[in-house]
Amino acid sequence: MSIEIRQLTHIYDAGTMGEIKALDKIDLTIKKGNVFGLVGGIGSGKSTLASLIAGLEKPTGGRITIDRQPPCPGRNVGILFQQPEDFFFEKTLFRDMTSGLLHSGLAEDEVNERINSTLDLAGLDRQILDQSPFHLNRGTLRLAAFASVLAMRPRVLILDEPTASLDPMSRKRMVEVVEHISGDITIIYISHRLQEVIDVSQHLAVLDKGNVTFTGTRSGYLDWAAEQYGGEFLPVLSQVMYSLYRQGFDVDPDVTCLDDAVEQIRLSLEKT
Amino acid sequence: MIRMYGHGRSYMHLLDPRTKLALMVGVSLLIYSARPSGLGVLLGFVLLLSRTCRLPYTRLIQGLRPMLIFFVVIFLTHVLFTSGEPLFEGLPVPSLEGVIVGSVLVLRFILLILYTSIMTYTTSPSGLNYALMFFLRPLGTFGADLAFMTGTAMTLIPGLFREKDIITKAQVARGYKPRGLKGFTALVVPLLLRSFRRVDELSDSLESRCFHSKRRYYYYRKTLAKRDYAGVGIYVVLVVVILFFF
Amino acid sequence: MIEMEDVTFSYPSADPVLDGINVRVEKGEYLGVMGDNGSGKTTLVRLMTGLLLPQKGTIRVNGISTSDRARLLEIRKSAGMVFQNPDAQAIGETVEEDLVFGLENLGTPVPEIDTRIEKYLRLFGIRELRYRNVRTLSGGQKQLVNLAAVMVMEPECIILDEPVSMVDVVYRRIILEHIPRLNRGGTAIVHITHDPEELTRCHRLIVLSRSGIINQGTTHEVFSQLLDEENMDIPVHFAISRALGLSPVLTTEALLEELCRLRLGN
Repeated sequence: MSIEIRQLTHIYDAGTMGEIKALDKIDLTIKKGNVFGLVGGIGSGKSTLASLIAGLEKPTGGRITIDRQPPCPGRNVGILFQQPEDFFFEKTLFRDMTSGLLHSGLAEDEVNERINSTLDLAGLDRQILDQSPFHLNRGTLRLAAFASVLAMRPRVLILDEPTASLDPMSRKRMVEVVEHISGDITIIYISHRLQEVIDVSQHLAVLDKGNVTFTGTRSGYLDWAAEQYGGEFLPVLSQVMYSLYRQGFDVDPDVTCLDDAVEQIRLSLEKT
Repeated sequence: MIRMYGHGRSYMHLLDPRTKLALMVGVSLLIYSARPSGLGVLLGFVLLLSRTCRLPYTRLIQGLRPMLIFFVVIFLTHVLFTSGEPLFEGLPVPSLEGVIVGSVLVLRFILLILYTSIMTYTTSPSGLNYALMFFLRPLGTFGADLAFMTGTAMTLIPGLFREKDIITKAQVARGYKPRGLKGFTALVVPLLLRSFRRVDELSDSLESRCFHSKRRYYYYRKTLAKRDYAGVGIYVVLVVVILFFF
Repeated sequence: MIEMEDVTFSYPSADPVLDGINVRVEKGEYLGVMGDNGSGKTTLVRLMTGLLLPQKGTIRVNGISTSDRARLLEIRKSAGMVFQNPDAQAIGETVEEDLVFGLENLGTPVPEIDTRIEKYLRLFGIRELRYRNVRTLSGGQKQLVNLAAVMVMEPECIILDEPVSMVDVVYRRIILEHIPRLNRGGTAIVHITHDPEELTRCHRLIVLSRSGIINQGTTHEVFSQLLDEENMDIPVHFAISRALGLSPVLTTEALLEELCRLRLGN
């Protein structure tokens, strides 16, 4: 299920004085079963790209195909919006989680079975289904929203800032679930937490003012980011490792795990 | 209508907001009472004004776009419901009178919107608030509150439309169709919750900036200058020319 | 500067969010508050400036109790606040108007307003944004303007509630560099966040959890103690230097210097 993006352009309020060019002739290929990280500042076009791939908006120009099919929300592509818990409105969490599935014409048994299995996957207690979404905490609700998107069994899943305003514990859970489901599902991962994006994705692209400024593998990204803007696009750990590497320390700058990094620094100190 | 203020130092920009607000009312009355030939002069005047404050014509005209349907409806209503000399043999409508009355009315609306656009483009909202407060002074603190509330509500509206778009998209992605009662609640409940939060955040921000109801907009207060009297003079000339010569 | 004594607060029909909390913010200090979702960080901020009132205990800002509603304006004057969402705080239409708004409320004379605006626009490096419409700015620029609009009122203390959690990487760094600079200028700062990397320059840290204040002390002390706890983030530099058995450092430069010294020693 590879995603092909060709010459994609998107302009908001085209033809008026408030015209904003969000994306400018973008080309990207996203391979099947990968976690693909999308990095960029606010206004870089990340969120626009996400809603175009999710088929929620028609591009002004160019095209997107998912396995040669146009994107269709709820069918071949799913998206977890920023702050998804804001959009719950039913009396019970169960009704909020199932209504999308029931809408798409699935039998009730099938829906129950899917919800239960994705809840287990997210590590949530089934008992929360009877509670009102307005009484649950943000971390739990976020995971529940994630589970309800997963229950739609999308082939491509877009996660737009899935961990924003979550505490470390809920963040960890979220990332674990992402790692668990990747491989079967192609995931597009958007986050401004650089370390997190690097930890989960095999491939990354950087968007800047509507253009793709980098696309490639994780280690390619680290090399690129170390050269750019004084390392602003590098996570802190990589900043440390790259500066050590440049100072002549014998370390691998692409290490992304803290324990490995410490081990490498220790070894390189012993060598000298 | 252009809702965006653009900073500048043109004659219109420097005019006291109170003068501008008063002239706004005056010009509206003039647009309402002028004969068709006088409207031509007013159109010329508005375009000249737009030139002096460096507002490009393209931008000025783009401001009319959201009103297009309204214009068409007004025009058609007059064309279809005004009886008179038929344009086509055998058909009661459209009549020549209908076309003329419709066009003139549409032109009056267009002029009104163009003039308002120039006004909002050249007047900062704080200035406008100050002017409103000045004229609402007879109403006491209620007038001041009213002026402030109007100004603040105006800044919240564009955000509301953006929120509506985001929520619609999020609910479509979850399988809701933006139709029917269900679709309506799926949109309205989150929109209300998010708007309440927005208002909450704004009121926190007001608190942190020490807002109190006795505040005065004195930084943007101006004393009436020669240019304000000149502005009134130009208006009087315009009135005389349009009402007596055209 | 701010004293909270035995403060208990709960929202209607729920368990207390804060229970018997004691916090002091000294004049000119830079205090960090860390905590998870639902630990009461935001409630704490709102209590500090009288946006909320406690059920039990007292909160005084410069000796004025926040329950003294008649003197609330004095409290607000000495403690400014910047919130999380950059989009929801601007009051004026242009950047200049936004800065003027607070000063008008304080009754600052016009010439003084002129000099202050110039001073703070320059301080935050946003002079060229003066006449820009706030709505056309990026999230990061907006947040910088929000910070300037509070600082222009020259409060003794500013309370920052997750100031960069909705800001992009570039502006995140810019804003985080401004905060200790403002502190060196004499402003006391209370910085609330769940990201410990933001708090490396604080003097003192408080760690808040559902069960109350679980840890407090100097930044070094608190991070050292958190190192052994699971599900608690601590800054990367700190973790590396501790794991290598070095004295703990909090910046890349300091860590690099330390390691180069070690290498030379070998």
